Amino acid sequence: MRFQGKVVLVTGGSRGIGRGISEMFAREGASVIVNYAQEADSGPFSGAANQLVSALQAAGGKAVAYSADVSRSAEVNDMVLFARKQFGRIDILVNNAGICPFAEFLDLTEEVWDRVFAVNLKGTFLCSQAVARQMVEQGIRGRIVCISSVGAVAGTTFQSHYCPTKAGVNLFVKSIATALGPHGINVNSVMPGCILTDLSEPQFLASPEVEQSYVEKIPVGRLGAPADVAAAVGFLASEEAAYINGASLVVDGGLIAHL
Amino acid sequence: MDLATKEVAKRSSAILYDLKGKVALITGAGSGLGKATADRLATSGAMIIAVDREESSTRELVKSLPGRHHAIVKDLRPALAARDVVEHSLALAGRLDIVVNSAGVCHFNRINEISPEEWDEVLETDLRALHFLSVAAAEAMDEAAGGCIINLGSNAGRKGRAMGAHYAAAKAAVASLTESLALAYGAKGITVNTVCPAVVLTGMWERNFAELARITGKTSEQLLGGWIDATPLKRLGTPEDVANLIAFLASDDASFITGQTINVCGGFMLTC
Repeated sequence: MRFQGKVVLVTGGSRGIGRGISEMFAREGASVIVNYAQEADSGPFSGAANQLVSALQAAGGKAVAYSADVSRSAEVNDMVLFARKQFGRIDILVNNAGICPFAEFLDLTEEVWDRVFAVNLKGTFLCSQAVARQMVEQGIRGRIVCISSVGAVAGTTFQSHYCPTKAGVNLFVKSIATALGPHGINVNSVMPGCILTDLSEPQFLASPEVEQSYVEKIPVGRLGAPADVAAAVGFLASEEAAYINGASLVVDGGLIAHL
Repeated sequence: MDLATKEVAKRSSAILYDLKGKVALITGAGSGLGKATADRLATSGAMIIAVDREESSTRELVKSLPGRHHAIVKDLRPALAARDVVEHSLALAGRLDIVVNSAGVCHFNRINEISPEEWDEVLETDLRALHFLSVAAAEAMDEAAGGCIINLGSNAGRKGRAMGAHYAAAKAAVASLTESLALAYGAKGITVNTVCPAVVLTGMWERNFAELARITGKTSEQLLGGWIDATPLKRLGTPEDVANLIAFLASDDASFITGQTINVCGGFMLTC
């Protein structure tokens, strides 16, 4: 139970990779604030955040769901206040919330471009600043882990909006690692490759041939699982990673080693 | 169950990354980062095969570790050394799961003062020996069990170095080799990664300071102060900092991480 007594905020923590991260922290003893956006909790996934929290609690974990749009500063500030009232502090922030609506570049609209930047990059800024301010005020030697992507270093046809947001996240991480390091706050990023989740399943498992086309590009011969990413986040958030700061940890089974 | 789910199901959530039943061959194990890594991996339950050309420190290390471990006294530079060490390891332990290429030399010298002999010493130790040991070990690893290879890189390999061009070139090549080995052996279930420290005060630095003092005219205190200042976390690294990252990379928790060169430098490399 590496994170016993720690308070963790996971943005976008109810589905996809974020869900795996929330599960890992709850299993390892932390109190987890599972942030989610209303748009991710609708349709077939309506109630996903509360269902996850119930499941974590049933397994003996401590978790609470909190709805906030990370791209809106008022909602982010309210969320951090909520965390402080509820748990007294935040020790670990995982900036995981992100969206990637695939789009043909020639048809990509300004609205979609702005929304992807607002959630992926501005949201990471707003949450990092709000949480870091509180950590510094309380003298907490905390951790911030941002979920980037291998898309930060390799362009892809239908992600001309998403990839630059992730490259931005990587450089944001390097920048605030130098700003927050002297306060004893480590900031790092994890760059997942092809991870099979409820969100990516339609893409990776569209057909056996499509799945095979992804798998054969991955040297270790399989798609990743949310738990693979969560394990890397857990390491970076742990005491053993006390001297790792400003690093980007790629979790992709070797995908970009030959790109 | 798909492969990803199976992979995750066999994981343990033990704090110290459970390596029980695994055999770890560590080069340069007699001192510095190699020694710290041997301590750390033994703590996680691995059987250590400590390889070093210095006999007494290597035997002393093996004696100091709890449990049963082995020493192989060997200079890894000769052409057949890699094959011999791997065969000897298999004879001692019956299997090989983890290789940590920690053996290395570092010289600081102005670029126009590097002699061909010094160039060869650095490249042979830091690059050539690492390559042939990695290949010999990967070939000997069990197909079903997989394995991992972890190299010691350096911040010097990430950027140019006016006063250590040979060392920087060797470490940059190690990062490249890491990707090639990862591609070549991924299908065999072997991950290959490199960890990149900046300044960690080990025995190697005693000599480094003497060389740097001669070139820069600065005292070791002045040099240390400058480096700490340039590090966002405001301290130098410890051998344990590096060994902890190696333990993570050697564990099942990192089974989807391969071909990577990962910094463990407190943020030093962001500012230089």
